[in-house]
Amino acid sequence: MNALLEDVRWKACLSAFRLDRFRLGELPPEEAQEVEAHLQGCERCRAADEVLASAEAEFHTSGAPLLRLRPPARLVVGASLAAAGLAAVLVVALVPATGIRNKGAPVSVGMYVQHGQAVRRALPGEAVAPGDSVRFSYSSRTPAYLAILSVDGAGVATVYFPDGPETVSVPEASEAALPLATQLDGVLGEETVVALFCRRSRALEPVRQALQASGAALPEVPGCTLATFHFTKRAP
Amino acid sequence: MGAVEALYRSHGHVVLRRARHLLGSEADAREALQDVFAELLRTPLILRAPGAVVAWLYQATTHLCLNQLRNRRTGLRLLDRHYAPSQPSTEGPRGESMAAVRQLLGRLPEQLAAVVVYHHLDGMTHEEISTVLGCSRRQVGYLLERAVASLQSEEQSA
Repeated sequence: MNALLEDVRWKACLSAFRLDRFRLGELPPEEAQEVEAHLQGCERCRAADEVLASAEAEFHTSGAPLLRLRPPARLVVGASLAAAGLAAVLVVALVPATGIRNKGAPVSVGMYVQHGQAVRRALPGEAVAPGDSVRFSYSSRTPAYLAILSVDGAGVATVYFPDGPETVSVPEASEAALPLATQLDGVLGEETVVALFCRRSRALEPVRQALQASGAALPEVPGCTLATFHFTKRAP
Repeated sequence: MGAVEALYRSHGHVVLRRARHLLGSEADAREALQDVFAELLRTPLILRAPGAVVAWLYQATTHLCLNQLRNRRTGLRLLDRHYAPSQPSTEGPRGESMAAVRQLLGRLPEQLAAVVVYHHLDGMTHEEISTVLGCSRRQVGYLLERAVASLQSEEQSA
């Protein structure tokens, strides 16, 4: 047993735990200085630290595994996906916020698309495919009550965000990603995304009905500012 | 949710690295990574203690991976098969020893297996382990003695 444990034991003087805390900035300054000084003089600990650094670099550069989030209620999954047992799996890519603020407008909405393993920030009018996963971001100069709705190519209005009956409170933010990802259904054509930034919480069903009735012409929603985004869903 | 995602980006590599080592399977390690951060969504208070995040991630990862090792053992017993790694080892010369240690860890009570992981695989001092487990250093020493004795007994009966 001793030989077995000796074979697999951690070989550096500083533990992986201490090195991780050091690398992630958790150690108090005096302890961090001790670790730094030790690393300069200890080859084994430097080698161990390089192994941790290499694992971190690989996590960031070769694409971190995707963090799964709860699927929203509107999810529509094609038969082939369901048959493959993939219906319950929605993924969202962890894309860093760009930090770009739209100076011309107090509010805006953006979208990220995941196609296969590739993730891109969608441009207005972006072509996407059924089965792609999309996720929205918002910018707002003030806190607001937010919802994201859309009217698809068949004229049907649905709520993308939140997964609930009312707008939800969000803080002032620039390019903040919203938590729910949605896998696109098979309805082709141009889809208009409408972000609703309201001063107070609002029930969403009346807004959804008004949006569906008005088609491309956006309805007035008292107390709310609207921002829109268009994309086109095409067969691959 | 945003805070959890930020933490995933900054700290996810720690969880994935340790899960790979403990489980010896890329697919299982990625599952463990998801599970740890899903758990974090249910216990967001840890995000308010920025000096204790690594300790929490170590504990959560160890707990999940040891559960996984125990489940593997149960599953294999149900299938009436002898334990064997599910895929060829890619861990180099230490791979066989690590596979044997995983089997043994799967047979120990969780608390004993956890101190073996922290002390022998992560190189943690008794003081560091006591911080993660929330017990005294004396208790850590006692648990380690019991763990090594249990491992020897398990190895002899294997």
